[in-house]
Formats: sequence, C-alpha cells, structure tokens
Amino acid sequence: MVRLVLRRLAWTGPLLFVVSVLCFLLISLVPGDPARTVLGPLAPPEQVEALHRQMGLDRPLTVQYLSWLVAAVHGDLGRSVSTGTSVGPLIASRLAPTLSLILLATLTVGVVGTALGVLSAVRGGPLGRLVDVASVVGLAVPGFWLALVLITWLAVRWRLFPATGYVPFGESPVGWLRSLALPVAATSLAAVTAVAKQTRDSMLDVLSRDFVRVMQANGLSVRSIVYRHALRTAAVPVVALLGVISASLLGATVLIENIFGLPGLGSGAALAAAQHDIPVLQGAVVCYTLIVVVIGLLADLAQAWLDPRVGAR
Amino acid sequence: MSGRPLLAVHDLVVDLGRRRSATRVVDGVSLTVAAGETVGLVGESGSGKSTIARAVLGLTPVTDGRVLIDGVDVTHAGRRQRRALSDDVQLVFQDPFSSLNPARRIGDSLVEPLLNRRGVDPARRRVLVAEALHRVGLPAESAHRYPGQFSGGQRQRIALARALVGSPRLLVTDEPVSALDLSVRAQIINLLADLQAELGFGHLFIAHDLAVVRHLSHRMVVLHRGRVVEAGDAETVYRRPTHPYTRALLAAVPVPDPVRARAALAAFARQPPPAGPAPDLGVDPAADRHPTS
Amino acid sequence: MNRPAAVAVRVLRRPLVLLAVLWLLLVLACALHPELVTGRDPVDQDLPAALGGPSAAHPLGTDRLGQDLLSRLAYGAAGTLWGVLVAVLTATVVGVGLGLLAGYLGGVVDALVGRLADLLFSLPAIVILLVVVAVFPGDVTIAMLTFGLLLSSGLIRVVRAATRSTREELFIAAARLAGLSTPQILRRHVLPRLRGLVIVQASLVAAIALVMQASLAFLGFGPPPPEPSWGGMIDEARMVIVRHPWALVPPGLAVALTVLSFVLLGDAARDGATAAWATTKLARRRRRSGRRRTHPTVPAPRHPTGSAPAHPVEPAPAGGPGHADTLLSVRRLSVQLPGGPARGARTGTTVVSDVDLDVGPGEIVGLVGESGCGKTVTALSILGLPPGDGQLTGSCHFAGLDLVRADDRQWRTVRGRRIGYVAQDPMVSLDPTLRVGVQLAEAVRRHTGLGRRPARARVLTLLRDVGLPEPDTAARRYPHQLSGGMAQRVAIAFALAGDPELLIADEPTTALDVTRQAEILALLARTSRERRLAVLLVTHDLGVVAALCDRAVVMYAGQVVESCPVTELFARPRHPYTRGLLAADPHRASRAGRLPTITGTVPAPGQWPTGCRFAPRCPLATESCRHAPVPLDRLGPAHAVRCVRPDEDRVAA
Repeated sequence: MVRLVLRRLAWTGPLLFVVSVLCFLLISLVPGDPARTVLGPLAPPEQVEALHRQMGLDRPLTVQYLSWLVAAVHGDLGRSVSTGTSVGPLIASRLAPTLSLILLATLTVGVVGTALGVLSAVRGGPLGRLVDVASVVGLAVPGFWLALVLITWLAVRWRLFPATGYVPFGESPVGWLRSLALPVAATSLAAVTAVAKQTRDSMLDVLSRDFVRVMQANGLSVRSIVYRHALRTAAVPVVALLGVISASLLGATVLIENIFGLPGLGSGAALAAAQHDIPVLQGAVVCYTLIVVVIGLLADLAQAWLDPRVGAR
Repeated sequence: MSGRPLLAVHDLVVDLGRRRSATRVVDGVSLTVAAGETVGLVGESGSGKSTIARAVLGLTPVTDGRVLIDGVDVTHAGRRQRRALSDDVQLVFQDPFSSLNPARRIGDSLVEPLLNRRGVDPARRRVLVAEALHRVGLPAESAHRYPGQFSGGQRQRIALARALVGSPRLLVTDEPVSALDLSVRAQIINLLADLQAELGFGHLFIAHDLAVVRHLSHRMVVLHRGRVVEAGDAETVYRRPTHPYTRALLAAVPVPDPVRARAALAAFARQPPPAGPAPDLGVDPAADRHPTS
Repeated sequence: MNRPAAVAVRVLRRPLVLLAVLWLLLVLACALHPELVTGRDPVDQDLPAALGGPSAAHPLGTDRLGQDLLSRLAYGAAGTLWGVLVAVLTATVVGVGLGLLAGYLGGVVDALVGRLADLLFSLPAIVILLVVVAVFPGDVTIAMLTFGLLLSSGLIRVVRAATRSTREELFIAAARLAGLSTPQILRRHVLPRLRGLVIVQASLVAAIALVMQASLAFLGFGPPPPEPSWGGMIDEARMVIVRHPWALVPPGLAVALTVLSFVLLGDAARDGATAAWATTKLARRRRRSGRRRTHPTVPAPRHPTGSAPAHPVEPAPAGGPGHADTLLSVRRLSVQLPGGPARGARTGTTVVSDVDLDVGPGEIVGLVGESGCGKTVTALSILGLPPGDGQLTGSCHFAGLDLVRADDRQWRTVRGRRIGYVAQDPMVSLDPTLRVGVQLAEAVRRHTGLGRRPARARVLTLLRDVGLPEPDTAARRYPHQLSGGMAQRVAIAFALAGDPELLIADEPTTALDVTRQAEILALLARTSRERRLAVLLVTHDLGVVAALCDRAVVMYAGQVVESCPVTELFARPRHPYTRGLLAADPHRASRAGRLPTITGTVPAPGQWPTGCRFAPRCPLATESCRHAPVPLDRLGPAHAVRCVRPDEDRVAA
C-alpha cells in the first residue's frame, strides 16, 4: 500500500516537468511574436515590444523555461498578461467552485451510478435493459447541451434553481447546493450511466463466479453475498472507472462553469484562452494536472483497500 | 537404433524469474531420446517437467548444461537456427483449447509449419495438410472450420496433425491427454502409439499420470523438484520403483480397484510422502539400457 | 478470413444499425455536397423569419439572424466529420502502433510506452486544447490532432493489454515453434485478435472527438462566426434560450444522433468481424473452466411455477435401489434449460433427465461420468442451484423436505446447515477480497448463531480439523496466499461450518496434484467416518471412486446408466459404457498393445439419440436399442442398469 503511494508520488514530479515543458514548447511554436498574438493585430509596436520583454521572450527558450520553473517551484506562476494580477492567487481564488463541482459530481456519479448498477444487476429485467441503453444514450448527449436544456426548463420555466451564479459554501450551504444543483446534474448524467453500466457488468460477472455459488450453496445470506462479497469484488473496476471519470469531469467543468457562470478554474481557463493569456493557461494546466494526479492516487488507494491482490502487485 | 540419440540433454539447469529472485526449476537433468523411442517424463507440478520441454524447444533460456538435437548443440540457438530446427522438432500442448487460435481456420493453423519451408508450394501445402488431417482421423474438410466447432479430443487430434504436418523427427508432448475425458484419452494414446509406429519419430512424453506414461513409453524418467530421482525401463519403474518418492507418487495415484485403492489411501494417510528435497542419486538415464522394442 | 460482404450483410440485418448507417451516410453526403440536401445558403439572412420554428420555408426553423438551421447543419457537417476523422486516425495509428510494439516486445519499450500512455492520460485534455487553440486560433485540424493524440492513451492501453495476453497464448508459442517470424505472427495471430477491439475503441474515439469538437466551437474556438458549425449553433441557441428554446433542438439532436450512430456501428462491426468464431469462444470458456457457468442472477425462490409435478413423487418406477434409511433420495430429477433470447442452440434443452439417486447416512456415493454427462448439473440441482436458470422436475427428498419444491425459508435450514458444498477449483471458490478467517467466521455465525469470539474459536477448530497445522496463520491469509491443497482444505472447512449431514463435493481433487489429491481424499474419508458425514462425490476418476466411495452412480448423456456398490462396479460392471470406461483406463489395461477404446465422443445435450443414448458408440447395440428409450432396470437388490442386454459379457474388442 505504502509502495503504491510512493510509486504514484514519484511519478508526479516527472509528470509535472513534462507537462510544463510541453506548455513551453507550444508557446515557442506560435507563428510570429507571441506578444503580438496576445495583444492582437491593432496594438502599437512599442506596446508589443514592451510585452515581449516583460514575457522574457528576448531570452533563449531554455533560460525562459528555467526561470519560470524556478519561480513556479517557489509558488510564483507569473502574472496574467491581461489583468496583471499574479497567477497563483488568481488560480487559488477560482479553485473552490471547481472543486465543489467535481466533488459533488463524483459523489453523485458514485452513489447513483453504483446503486443503479447493483439494482439492475440484481433485479435484471427492464431496469437492466434501461441501464444498457442509457449508457449509450448518455455518451451521446453532450453535457453542455443538456445544461442548456436544464436551464431552459428547471431554471427559466419553473424557476426551481438559479440559472447562473455561485454562492460560496461559507455564505450559505443551502444556496451553495442550489447553485450547484444544475451544474452537477448536467455534468454527471452521462457519467452516471457509464458507472451504472460498468457496475452492472462487473456485478453480473462476479455473481457468476464460483465463489458466489459456493457461498449460496453453503447457505450464506443473499444480502451478504451480494452486498458484502460480490459488491466488494465488483467495485474494483468501478472505482478505477470512477477515477477516470472524475478526471474527465474536470474537462467538463470548463464548459459547465462557462454556461452557469461559475467563477471557477474552467471558466477562467476558457477566458484566458480567449485572451491568449498564456501564463494563466500554464498555471491552469499545472493545477489541473495536480488534481488529476490526486484523483488517480485516491482511486489506486481505494482499489488496494478493496482487493488485497491489487496492493500486493 | 543409431548410436547417436536424437535428443540428448546434459546437466540441464534452468532458473526462472528475475535475476535476484530466480528459482532453480530444473537442476542438473540429463536424458536422451532415440529415434522411434518414447521417453516418459513424470512429475508433479513444480517438478520442472514442462520447463525441460520449453528449454529443449528454445522457449525458455537455459542457465547451464547442453541440449543436443541429432548431435548438434542447440542450447543457445539463435532465431534463424531455431526456425530451421522447427522442421525437426515439434510440440503438442496440454490445453487443446488455447493451443489453436480460435479466430483462424484449422487449415490456416495447420499450414504454419510449412510456410517458411522452401520448395513447398501452396498446392503441395494443401495436400500435406489434408494428409495430416487424415492421419489423425479427421476429414479433410475440417481445414475450413474453426477450432470452436471441435471437441477437446478432436482439437488434440488437430494439434497433433499440426505438429506432424512437417514430418518432424522429434515430437515433444506436454501432458497431451490430461485435459481429455477418459474415453477420448484412450483414443489419443492409441493414436500417438500408431503414429509413432508409422512415422518413427522420437517422442518425449511429459505427463503426471504414471499409468499413462507406463502404457505409452519405453523408458520413464521421474522428476522431483527439478531433479531426476529415478529413470529406467518404464514397466520396471512402474512395477518395482526403488526411490521413495516414486513409490509415494505411485501410492498416491488411486487405482481403479477398490481393495488396492483403499489400502493405498490408508497407507498414505498414515505416512505422507517425503517433502524435503530429493537426494541426488547420480542417475544417468543415458547409461540405462534401451528398450528392447 | 471473413468475407467483408458477408460481414456487412450480417451487420446491416439489425434495424438500429441500419438506421445508424443511413444517418452517417446522410451526414457524409452533407459533408461532401451540402447543396444536394438544402437549396439555401447557410449565411443567407432572412431577418423577417428570424427565430422561427419549423416551417415550409425553413424545415428546421431559423436562428436570430434568420439563417436557415437545416442549411447551417448541412454545411457544418464537413468540418465536424473532418475533425472526427483527424482525431480517429491519429488515435488509431498512434494507439495501435505503440500498443502493439509495447505489448509484443515487452521490456524497455513496454515500460517507455506505458509511461507515455500514463502521461497522455494524466494531461487534462480540454485545458491542453485551450492552450492549443490559444496558440493556433481557429485551427481545428491541429486541435483535433492533439486531441487524437491525447485519446490514444486509451487505445495504447487496450491494445497493449490485449497483445500481451495474446502473446501468452499457447497458439503463439505453437506458431513460433512452427518457424514463423515475428511479423508473420503479428499479422496472422495478433492483429486479427485486435480487430474487434480497435473497431470499438475507434468508434468511441469518434464519439468523444465529436462532442469535444462541438464543445470547442461552443466555447467560441470553432470556425469564425458566419461560418456554420454544430457546436457554434448550440452557442447561438444559448443566446436566445429564453425566447426561442427550439433552436437548441436541431444541433443537439444532430450531435447526439451522430454519436449514437458511431457507437452502434462500432459495436455491430465488432460483432460482425468476430461472429464466425465468437459464438464458440463462449463455449470454450465454459469448457475450460470445467463447468457450466451459473446464470448470474441472485438466488431467488425457485418453484416449478404453478405447474403440478409431472410425475407422482413415489414410488420410484423401476427406480434405483431404494434404501430403508436414505438421507437423500432423488427421483426422476430432470433439468431443462429455459429457451432464452440468446442466439442459437441450447434453448429449452434438457441437460439431465430422470435421474434416480440415493445417499444413505454416512455413505459416500460417487457420481461418475465424463464431462457433458450432467453430473455437475445434477449435484447443483440437488442444492436448488441449477446452472443457467434451469427448470427442475421430479423430486429430491432430504430430511423430510422435497428440495425441488423448497422455498427460501426452507433452503435456509438446509444449505450449509444440513448440506455442505465443495467446488472443483479451490483457488476461485473463496472470496478473493477477504481473509480466510473472516469468511469462515461469517459461515459459522450464520449457521450456529455464535457470537464473535466463540465463532472465532470454532473457526480455528475447523481449520485444525481439516488438517491445517497452524490455524492461526491460515485464518489471517487471503485466498491468493494459499496453495491449492491448503485452499481446498479451507473450502472443505467452509462447507463443514454448519456441521452438515451431507457434503456435495464436485470434483474436489481434479485441480490438484496426485499427492495433494491423496491428502484431500484421506481427509474426506476421515471426516466422513468421524462425523458420520454422507458425501456425494462428483468425479470422472474411477480411481477416486475406488478409493473413497461405497456406491457409484454412473451417468451418461444426462441419464443414470448404472448404479451399484463400488465392489460390484469394478468386479461385475453391467453397462457397456461402464465396461468401456474401465477397459480404457490405462491402470487396468495390459502394458503391451493398444488400449481398448470407446469410439466417438459424448453427444451434447440436445443431440441425444431417441433410443439408448449410448447406442451409437456401443459395440453391442442392435436395432432394438435404437427404437425406444431404455428404462433403468433393477438387476439385484442394489444394482440397477439402463441396458436391454446387461447379461452380454462381451466387451468391445
């Protein structure tokens, strides 16, 4: 178990390094002057020149990179070229809505998806077919489109939830929940169907294994066989998928935050991309990568806890 | 019988696993197989019998010792030499279900030993494949079907046909009948004996079932934990085992005779077989007399 | 291999798939020649008709500039498909290439590629894409190329895993021994195996790429405004969401339908590509595991619903030998697998027919036969757990209950408490995720109602009873940390937890080495003697029967063909099948010469002959054998045989 964590952590450093190098390489690939790209074609040349120097673009690439890296290690991710604020605090200020969204969405996906999957595996019949079909449909309905549909009906027509905006948890937990209800629903629908399908398949597989029959034949209770023994084994691939999904929800937040006007990391990154604000984007990439790594670590730990053979490997 | 054995294994040592945690699976095994002869290699799982087969065929690297086929040292043969060897040496596996690619027709699998052979054109290949199928008692049109359409016994016949399609001189079979049902098992055992009589190949026969080995083999080599504990004429070893391990092994096999089986089980319950490493008897099976058949 | 045309026909036979193909063709037609679908220009502004619903002039309505939505959809198709194509090609080429290399070569290459896949996977895709569109504004091709690269991590992993597992297959070793070179092996064996997998993955990549592309356009990183794109249309709809929600529908539906079509087509193509042999793949898994898989439903009360029993329960007509004091008495037990929606064979087939069987207290009865004869199905049916949701008829009297008609509450008093069960493969018959002691304690507490501590003490006693010298250590182990012999002892302890009177053991020693087998047999003999435990032992090994059993019941093709005391079985077998089996055993055969054999193989359920089921393989069969089913006749007080000529002593020559 400890080895598993160490291996994961040992992998984090090189990963961040490669990610940051990639970001830098991309910028050096920009045709023409990045400063010109940032400021647009109408900006006066002296302004471009100033920005050019401010971004350190007159120095060789390796030097640029190293100085950025040294600063980044000290927590300084540079300054936004559009607002001039420091990137670190900017990102920190936008973390809460994004993390809230991911946390709630992952929770919803995990609980609802697993419950649906287990129920459909145990009951079978129409519910089982529904889960099978829904998993395909869920993949087909884009989350951002669903978000718009939800806004039209639940927010605009029936006024059940606010259409946009974010209420911090500290301000009002209920308001926080209400402001996140629609975003979470839009983000998690497709993922719920995917997790339900995986849980169903995995449960069906485990329920057909020999040890389940041996337990049945030797008179253990059905409840214990299904929920204590089978579910535990079946949960291993589900948790792995949940890790993948919650990492991919991270991507969905970019759109969802944008639509619901949540002041999160995703909408910040989209804004930065529109303004060609490279330092902010770099910071966002680093931050997102860190979150992905943490999610992966948690998923690994959960799997090792569920199945002793995973940790022993 | 020529003076030079078809297969000669001298002091074979095989370590498996990564360098530091390697375990010695085969520890100084020597044996020979002559043309037209069947040598049975017996042992329980972990005795190293399958590893010996894999080492002979170049599927597992050899740590020490030598493997000679027809007098030629092939212990560390390269890819090219191995490919040339495939004309002479073939293998049949235990599992008739995974030894044939389920997604390929029987004919496609059977033709493989002929693919890289010079002077065999596609028409000739078809003839040889049909002949091989006929030899193992299957209709020629089986070539157009998939492995899934055959039973375990039939698949083992197909595997035999594939091994023999290129007329090898040495056949290695790794537990070829232990996955089969009793009535089918006897059919395959007879088929192996018939084919050997017809084609005259040398046969290294690996099995855990002493009765089957005794029935099919001229000589028998008993392995325990990677070492040879007893070797000699198959009938003699079966009737009058000298090594305690061989005796324990024989006692452990339940014979289809209630009186003897019960007595053996009772004796076994009183005195389980020795578990420690087998003493080195210094047996050199090559020095043993050849069967008279 | 499969002819493409045949595959296409098979695939298109499904209506949903046909619809998917038609839809994709329509989208493709739009991409190549949008003017064929609509006469309107996508940027033509018809302001008076702005924000209109579907009408004759505008079949799908208009947006806020009065642009025709149908036309914009049609003209947006080209960009959409192009982006998808770029992503799919990139992901497939990179994924299959690297996955194949890593999986087949292993070693350093594998480690490097594995790291690369991890890296690609850890990158937050959409943020990377935001960087890309920020650096290359408006360039869809580069964005989708990048996305394809990021998505290739999934393909790399899947292809690598599949290649690795294929590489371990015996047929690869066989191909290498046949002298094939590595490229030959890859082409002939590995690539065909991957085809279905790659098709499905590629269709998923297409689906995800389409949504991602729409997302980017929605965020404003698609083609610049007047130019139509599906994601851009959703963005435009958003601006008028309150006044004109209809505008959301056409682009949303277009995206959803296209994604659905990709997925459906991918699945269907995979099925089509593997259909020639895949049906048999399942059968192979079943054969390999040595038994039929149970239908994966949860135990539910299983009644022969409503229908009255087909036969009077007693007396057993021409039945097997009855015992005065029988513990278990099975009469005319038949098992029929239900006809299901599953394709092809085995629907509504009888797999066990009219089995009569008795087990006395403390008696060890062997249920003997080859695979496919129904002995395992019989054993599981006695426990009320027939494989594949089979329907039971007949009766099965045990402890005053007819088990065929027992309900859940009655089963609770029987399973584990009065009948224990041991399965063939000990390595998979324990829950892999829990310690041995925990599992045993659960069984003990369930059956005895003991508290935590006394249950724990009882577990240790049980483990000692089954011959584990250090029960403390054993109890703390996980199943994967046990050897085969130890695991089987634990499995026996599990079955003994409720102190049953009858143990049903299904090939308990088949997966073990001979010395381990002898130990387990000795353990079963001792346990039966000490606890006066009756055992129904399912086995194919006549030696095991000889060593352990008091009586034997021989099964062939779903029927009992002979039933007698073990001494009789070996001294005076009456059924030609029993004689054939005994003669074919190399233990009994003479050293020299050929083994006597039974020709042919056991017929599969559903292919049983009408008359004597053994007749086609029987050396003594005459015309009369083939006409009508042969009854199980009693020859003596304890001997029954299903043969019209049981007195013929000639054995197959």
